[in-house]
Amino acid sequence: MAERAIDLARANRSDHDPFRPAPTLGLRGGLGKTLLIAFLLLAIVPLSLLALFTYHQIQRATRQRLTASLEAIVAVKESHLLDWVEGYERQMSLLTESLDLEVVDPAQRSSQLEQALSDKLTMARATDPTLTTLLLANQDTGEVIAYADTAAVHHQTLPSLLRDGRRLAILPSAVEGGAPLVAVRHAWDDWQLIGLLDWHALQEIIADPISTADGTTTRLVTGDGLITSEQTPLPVSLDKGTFGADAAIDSQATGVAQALRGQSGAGDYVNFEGTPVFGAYRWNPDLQLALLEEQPQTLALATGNRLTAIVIASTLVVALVTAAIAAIVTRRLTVPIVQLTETAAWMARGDLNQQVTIQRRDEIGVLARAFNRMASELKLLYGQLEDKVAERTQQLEAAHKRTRYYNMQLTISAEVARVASSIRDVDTLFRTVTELIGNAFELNYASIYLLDESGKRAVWRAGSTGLPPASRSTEVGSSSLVGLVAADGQRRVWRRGAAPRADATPSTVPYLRVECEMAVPLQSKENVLGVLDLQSNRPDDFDTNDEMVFQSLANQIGIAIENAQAYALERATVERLKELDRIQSQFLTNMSHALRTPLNSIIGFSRVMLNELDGPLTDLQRTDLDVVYQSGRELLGLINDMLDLSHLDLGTAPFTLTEVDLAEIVEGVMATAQALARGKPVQLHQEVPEELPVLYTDGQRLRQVILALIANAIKFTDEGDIHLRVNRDDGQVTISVSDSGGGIPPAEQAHILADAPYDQNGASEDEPGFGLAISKRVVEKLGGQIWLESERDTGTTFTFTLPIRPSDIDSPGRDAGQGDAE
Amino acid sequence: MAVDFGQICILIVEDNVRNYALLARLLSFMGVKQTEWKRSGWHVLEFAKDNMPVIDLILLDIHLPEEDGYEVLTRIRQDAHFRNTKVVAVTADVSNPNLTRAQSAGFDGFLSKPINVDQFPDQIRRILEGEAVWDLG
Repeated sequence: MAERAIDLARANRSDHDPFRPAPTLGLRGGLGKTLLIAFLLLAIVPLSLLALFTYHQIQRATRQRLTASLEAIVAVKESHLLDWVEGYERQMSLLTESLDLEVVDPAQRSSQLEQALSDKLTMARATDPTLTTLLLANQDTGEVIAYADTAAVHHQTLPSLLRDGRRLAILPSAVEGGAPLVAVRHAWDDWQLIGLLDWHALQEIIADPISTADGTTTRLVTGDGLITSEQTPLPVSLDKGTFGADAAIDSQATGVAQALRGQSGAGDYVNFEGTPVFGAYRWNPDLQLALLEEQPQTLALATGNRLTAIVIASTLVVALVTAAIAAIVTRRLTVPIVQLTETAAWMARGDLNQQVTIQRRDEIGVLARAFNRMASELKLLYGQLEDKVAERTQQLEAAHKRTRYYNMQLTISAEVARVASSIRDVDTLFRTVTELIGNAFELNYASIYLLDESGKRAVWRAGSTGLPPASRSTEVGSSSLVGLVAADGQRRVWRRGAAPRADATPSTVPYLRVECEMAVPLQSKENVLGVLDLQSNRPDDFDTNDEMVFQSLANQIGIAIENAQAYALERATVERLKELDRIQSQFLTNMSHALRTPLNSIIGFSRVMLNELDGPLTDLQRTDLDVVYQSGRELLGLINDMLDLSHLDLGTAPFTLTEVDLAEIVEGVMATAQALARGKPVQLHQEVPEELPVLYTDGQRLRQVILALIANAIKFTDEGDIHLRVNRDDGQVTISVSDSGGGIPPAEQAHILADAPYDQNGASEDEPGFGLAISKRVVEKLGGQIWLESERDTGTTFTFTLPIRPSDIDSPGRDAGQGDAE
Repeated sequence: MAVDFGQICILIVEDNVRNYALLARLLSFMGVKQTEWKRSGWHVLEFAKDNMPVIDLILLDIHLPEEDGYEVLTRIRQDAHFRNTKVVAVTADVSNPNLTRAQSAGFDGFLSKPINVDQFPDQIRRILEGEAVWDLG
C-alpha cells in the first residue's frame, strides 16, 4: 500500500512537470489541416471560378464592344469616303461644265485645242490646292488629251487605272518615297476628267477622329491589291510581298482576304502584319475598295486585362482573408479538441488526475465540462476500486499468512513427529527438535530442559543455537519460568513489563532482546519430564493459538522422550540378550571342540585297534573295543545334534538355499536308510511320483530331516514296513514317513515334537534323541509344517510340507533371525 | 600319478599330543617315513629357518595357541620355503561356515575331527595327488 501511495504521489507531481513529454498524437496537423484545406478550397475555388467567368465575360464584352464599335467606325468612314468621293466627282463635273469641255470633239482635235484645254485645266487646278493634276482623257482609249500637272506623273497609265469604271484609284507615288495620289473622275460621253488628289486629302477622311480607340489603324485595300496605312502612307502592292521596308505582309490574312473577297464583317484575327487584332472590314463595290479598321488586341484588351488583374487580385485578397479566418476558426475548433484528446490519452495511460481547462460557452465548452465531470467520476471510482483491491489484497495476504502459518505448524509438527520416531538418541533428538522449532518460528532461542533423576532440578539438554544458557540447570519450583512450569506442569507465558522475574533465563543471543518467553511442560501421562522453553524478541508472540501449537509440539516431544527411553531400555535388553546368545554360542562351540578333542582319540585309537593296526585282537577284545568305538560315535552324534539344535535355536544355524532335485535327495536318503536298517526285519518302501518338482531350498537340511524321520522310524519299528511318500500339491510338496511300529502314546505325542527336548528326562534306548526336534525347527525354518499321526499297534506317520519356492526365506547362508531369538 | 608315501614329508601342526600321536600313527601305517610335528605356527616358521626338509603336506590344526590356523596359513603362504606345500585344515570346529572360511582362506582341504580312521589314508592320498578334499564328517 505504501509503495502504491508513493507511486500515486509521484504521478501527481509529474502532472506539473513542464518537462514531461506530452503524448504525441499528431492530431494538431490532421484535423486542423483538413479543416483549413476545406475552408480554402471552399473559398478559393468558387472565387477562382467566378474570376475566370468574369474574365471571360469581360473579354467577350470587350470583343463585342470593340467589334461593334469598329464596325460602326468602318461604316461611318465608308460613308465619309463615299461623300468625299462624290464631292470630288461633283467638283470634276462642275469643272467640266465650267471649262466647257463637253464641246470638245475628239475628231477635231488639234494642238491648239489641246493647249487651250490644258490651260483651262491649269486654271481649274489652281482653284483647289488639293488638286495636283487634272487630266482630260478619252474614255475608251484612255488617250490623254489635255492635262494640268505639277508633278511628273505617268499620265498615260492613269486612264487605265480607272478603266473598269472605278470611281476611285490610288496611285503609287511616282517618286520614290513620295506620297501616293488619289484619282477621282467624272465621265461623260467619250470623255473623262480625272483629278489627281493629294494623298493627305484622303488621309484626313480615313483618320477621322471618331476613332478614339488607342492604336486603331484604318486601312484601305484596293481591289487591285494596294493597301494603305497611316504609318506608312505609301500604298504598297500586296503582291510585292513587302510593305514598306520592314513589314511582312500576308495577303491571305483575315480581314484583307475577306474584304478582297467582297465580304464585310468584324472579329478578332491576325492581320496581314502578323499582329492579333480586333478588326472590322467592309468592301465597297462602288469604290472597289475595302476599308479596314483594326486595333491590336494588346491595346484593345488592356482595359480588360487591368480589370482581370483587379479581379484576380481581389480574389487573392479574399482568399487570403478567408485563409486567415479559416486558420483562426480551425484553431479555435481543433485546439480544445486536441487538448481533450491528449487528456483522454493521459487518462488511458492510467493518469486519472486530469482536468481540461476550457472556459467556453459553446458546445466544446459543454464537452469539456462533461469530460471533466467524467474524469472526476472515473478517478473517484478508480480510487474506490484501488482501496477495495488493497483491502482485499490485505485480507488475502492475512489469509495466506494464516494458511502459511498453519501449514508451517503442520510441517513442523510432522517433522517433529518424524524426528521423534526416527531419532532414538535423546540428545540428538533434542538438538534437532530445538533447531527445527527455533528456525521455523524464528525464535531467539528454543531449549529443552529435563528433570534429573532426583526430580529436583531441571537440567538444560539442548538449545536451538547450540549454545547453553548461563545457568545450565534450575531448581524445580524456583521463580524462573522453567522452574515454575517444571513444578506444576502448567504452561506459562512471560512478557516484558508484565511482571518482574527474579532469575529470568537470559537469552544466549545477547543482541536480541527477549520480549516474551513461554515455557511448556513436557509430560508423559501425568508426570512432568521436562520443559520446552521458547524465547522471542517479538512482543506479540505466544498468543493462544501459539500456545496450542507449542503444547502440541511439547506433547510430541514428551512422547518421543518416553519412546526414546523405552527404546534405550529395550535396546539395552536386546544387547544383553544378544550378548547372552553370543556367549552361549561361543560356549557351545568351545564345548563342542572340547568334547571332540578327546573323542578324536577315543574313536580314532579304538578304530586303529579294531583295524588291527596295532596287532591282532582276540574276539573278546574286538567286541569290547567295538562297544568303545560305537559309543564314541554315538556321543559324537549327540554332540553334533545338540550343537545343531542350539544353533537352530540361536538363529545362527546356516541355511543355504539352492535349486534342489527332490528325486535325487530321496534316492540318496533311501540308500543310507537301507544301510541303517541292515540286520533288522524292516522293509523300506517309497511311493514317489514320476515327476518331482525342483525345489528351492536347503538340500542338505532336507536330506537331514527325511533321514532323521526314517532313522526314527527304523529305531521304533522292530519288524514291519516303512513307507516314504512324496506328494506334490499346489505350490508345495508333502513328504511323509510311516512305520508299522508300536505307535506313540497320546500323552507323549504332545511333546515328541516339543520345542524343548532338553526337558526330557533320561536317555534310554527308546528316546528319540534330538532328531525330531531338529527336524521340526528345520522344516519350519524352510517354510513348512510338520506333524504326526499315531495309533497304538498300528504305527506312526510323520508328515511335513515344504514350499516349492519359499517367499519368506532369504539371505541364504547367514540367517540373522532376531525373531528366532525371541 | 601314484604317490609314494615313502618319499614324502608331512608336517603336523597340533597342540594336542594325543591327536598328533593318532595322526602320526595313521601316517606311519600308511608308509609315510618323514613326519614332523610342531605345536604352533610360530614353531613352524622358526623351524623353517633351520634346515627344514621340503614339506609336501601340512596338516594344520585351526585351534592353536597364540595364532589360529588361518593366521598361520597366511604366514606359511608368504614363506618361500613352503612354496609347493599343500596345507590342509584339521579341526574339531566342524561347521559349514568354518568349511567355507577355510575354502576362501586358501586351504587345500578340510578334515574334521574326530578323524575318520577308515577314510584317512585315502583322503591324504587324494590331497597329495592334487585333489581338494572337503570333509565335514
